[in-house]
Amino acid sequence: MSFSLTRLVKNVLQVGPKDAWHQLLILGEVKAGTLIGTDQFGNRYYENREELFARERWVVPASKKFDPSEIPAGWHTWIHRIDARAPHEVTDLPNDLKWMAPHTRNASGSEANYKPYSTTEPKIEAGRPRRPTAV
Amino acid sequence: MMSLRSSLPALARATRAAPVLRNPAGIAALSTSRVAQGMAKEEGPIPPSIYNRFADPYMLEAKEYKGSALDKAAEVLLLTEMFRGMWLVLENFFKPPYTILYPYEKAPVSPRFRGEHALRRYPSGEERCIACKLCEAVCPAQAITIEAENRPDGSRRTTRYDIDWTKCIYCGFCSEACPVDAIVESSNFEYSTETHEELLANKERLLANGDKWEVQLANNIRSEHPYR
Repeated sequence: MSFSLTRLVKNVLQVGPKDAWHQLLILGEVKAGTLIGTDQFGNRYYENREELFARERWVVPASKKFDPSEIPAGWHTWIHRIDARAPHEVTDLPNDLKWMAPHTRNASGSEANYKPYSTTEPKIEAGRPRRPTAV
Repeated sequence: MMSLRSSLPALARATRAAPVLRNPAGIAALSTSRVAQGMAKEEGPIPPSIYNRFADPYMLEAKEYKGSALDKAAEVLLLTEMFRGMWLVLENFFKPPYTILYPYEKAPVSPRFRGEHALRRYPSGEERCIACKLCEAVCPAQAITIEAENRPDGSRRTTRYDIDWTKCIYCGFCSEACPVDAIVESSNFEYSTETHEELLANKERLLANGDKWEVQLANNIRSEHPYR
């Protein structure tokens, strides 16, 4: 893995020691850019167009237990470059309809995981063996 | 036969004059035609060209080498090419890393990406799917199972909409077949599970996906609608 000392020093000076330490613990690297926004989980989204291709948008998670499926739909659209606009800049589509559900992370492996079930009534009934008659 | 033989030199001359034949020698290397081979003889030895697949690159390099034999010997004995290669590696070692730091940085994804399925709703909250079963019919992996009934208000809706994500081949035919944009494939690919049964999605799961991802699904469909 390549490593640039000048880049590290420059970024640490720009973001400050506290954020640099937080980034080193989680990302393993210190990056500097403009803060675009924060989601409901406290993850911060940054952009720096000077970075290399596909490295110019990133998330600094609130905690080390971050899972990539935690990124909500709007920010997912932004971080994958599906849309150039951040979710708060998309004003021409409804985002607060009452049936829209809050974002949840992939629950596989936890107690809250999805368990499949049939959404219809069974069309056949299992046969019941007749009780043996007393002799 | 006689007339053909007598016309051959004329043909050769005509072909030589044709402006499209920029490299007759190269063509001669591939051709079995006597005309082309005759032309090659007139041009001299076959020069290195993209047509000559049998040219030895090391031989060509040795022929094109401009320095003296002493220079060449010094290059070989002092391993200068090895050090040049190692210097390139060292240069890259001090450059900013170009690996995408995956969970924090993500690669670009198309709005047409075919990931996890979702069933969408109208803005009023009414589910879009009308149980026409076109997706079930078009599905090449037969991963979709639909059962339908009339609701008390008379509208036709599904009672069962199951997708087996372990059968699905993510071809996107279901979303293409859908007349009401109900079944779509979202841009989410981070739904890996620990068990097989979690990948057997039922209607509730698909609707929940739609409720969760609607902001993105509507955006994707709108950005791609001019091309559909």
